[in-house]
Amino acid sequence: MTKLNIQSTSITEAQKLLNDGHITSVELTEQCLSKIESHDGMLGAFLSVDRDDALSQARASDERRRNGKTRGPLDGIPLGLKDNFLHQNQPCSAGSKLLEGYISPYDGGAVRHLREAGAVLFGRMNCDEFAMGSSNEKSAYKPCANPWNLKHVPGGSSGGSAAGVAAGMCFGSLGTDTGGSIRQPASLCGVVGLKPTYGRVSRFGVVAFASSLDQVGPFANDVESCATIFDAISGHDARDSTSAKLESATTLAGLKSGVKGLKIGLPKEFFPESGVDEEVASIVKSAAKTLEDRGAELVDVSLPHTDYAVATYYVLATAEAASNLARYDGVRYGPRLAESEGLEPMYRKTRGTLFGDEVKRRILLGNYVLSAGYADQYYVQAQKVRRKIYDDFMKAFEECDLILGPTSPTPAFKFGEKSTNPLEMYLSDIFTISTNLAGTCGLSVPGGLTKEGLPVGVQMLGKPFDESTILKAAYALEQALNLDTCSF
Amino acid sequence: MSIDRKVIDELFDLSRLEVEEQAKKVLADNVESILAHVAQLQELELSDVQPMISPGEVILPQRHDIIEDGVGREGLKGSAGYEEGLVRVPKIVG
Repeated sequence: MTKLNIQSTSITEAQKLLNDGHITSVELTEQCLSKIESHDGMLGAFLSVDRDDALSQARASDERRRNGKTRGPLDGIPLGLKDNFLHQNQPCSAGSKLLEGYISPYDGGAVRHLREAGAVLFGRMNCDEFAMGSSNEKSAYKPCANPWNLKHVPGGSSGGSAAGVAAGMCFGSLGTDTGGSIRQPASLCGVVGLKPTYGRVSRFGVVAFASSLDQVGPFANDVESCATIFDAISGHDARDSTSAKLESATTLAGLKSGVKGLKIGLPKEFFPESGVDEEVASIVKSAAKTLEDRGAELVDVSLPHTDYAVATYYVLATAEAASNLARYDGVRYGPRLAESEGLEPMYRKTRGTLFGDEVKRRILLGNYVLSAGYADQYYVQAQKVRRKIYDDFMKAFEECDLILGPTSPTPAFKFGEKSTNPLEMYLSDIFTISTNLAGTCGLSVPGGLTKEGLPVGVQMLGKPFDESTILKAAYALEQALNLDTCSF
Repeated sequence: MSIDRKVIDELFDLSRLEVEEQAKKVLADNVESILAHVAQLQELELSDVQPMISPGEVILPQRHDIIEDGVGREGLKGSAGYEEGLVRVPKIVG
């Protein structure tokens, strides 16, 4: 059996090994499972793994390959899922005690696409409760560490999805990004993470946090693998009323065409004089220079409402979350408490006990900004600022093809460093949040390491439905930098 | 900013959240400090700006009235009160 270094093997390379008969999907899957068994005890990327189900899918893939019925570039490739994706007959807790023991009755849209593509889907990857957090410290089950340094957080909310990929426990994974929950952990864990344009990937069968901001996207150790997964999961889904009426994306086609002539916008608001770690700023500027050396043109642009993005987001996201999470009351989902005391006490006790503090905080804030007398002052005003943020992006995109900046103002921070001050944690999403508000696409690609050996991601933001351009630029940067993947 | 105690109680009531008094105070303090940050939105004069509800097209999709595959009552199995295709809840009317 060929023993692979999964972190440094792309999906394309693994597929070639499968096609050439050097390895089977069962062997690939066994290698992932074996890495999880030996290393996840100290990492915490997975909440659970159904070994038998994974191997059964891998055997079916090998059978298809033997019969000449391979389905494409993802057939037989092991991929992980964040714990907020419905995957039929598998647990789905969204990192919350309120959904402990819940079993998915059907597959979500993106999961269905991956199944049809023949991917081996396994594992419930750790995340902040209901995808609310930036460090994975808000998981109700266990913390997830950063495989580059176990004393540091992996980012969040899709921390497990990023850490598991960086650690070589799967070839890629799915996460969700409501305010940066794919790009920020990708940056902190040194992997590639893509938040597609709102509507590009079905949200059907994903536990909702903030419905006008949530988007599904992939993680992988390299850009080409990330594009492969994205192409597979994109496309219209009639079951999601906000799904764009577009065919599947074909970003792989032009991925390697280079950046010559591409205009890259550098917003001055993403390079402030203070507030961004010096090493982060230096790595990001160096990445821009690298692309310029390869033929791209750097232009100055402005996103003047960036400073208002966090405040706007925490009004709109919490308002939507308060409504979405009203359904969890002990009746239809998960465990229930104080049932014998009557319906209202059951609601209150179940929610008050089983939701974590971060979730409760956001529900309270959301209900406050939606309540009579405050809705115009907060909620409607935030919707207006959202319009200004969107207009900023569209104006900037008149001057450039993509926008480049830091993904996160700092590298991965230590456990506990920001967990006592919610506002400080929220502000760490300053550079990712505006993309969700505008609904455009964005990604994080590794740009280098700090002196301490922590990864720093470079963020690239694209025009609506133009994932191809940011993936192409990210590929060019990746090839130029040729960075090592995590050795965990 | 400071939120009136009565409003805090109404907020927990509206949110259907029963928590200990000490935890309630901490959460209320957190909400107050976040609202203080959010207050910066009031600096902007936006009376002529249309609110943006969603980045996607805000249309009501329609489809033919044809029954398609669904999860049916099997989908209720995630409830703690599931019994033979139904969900048992506490008594509501006397």
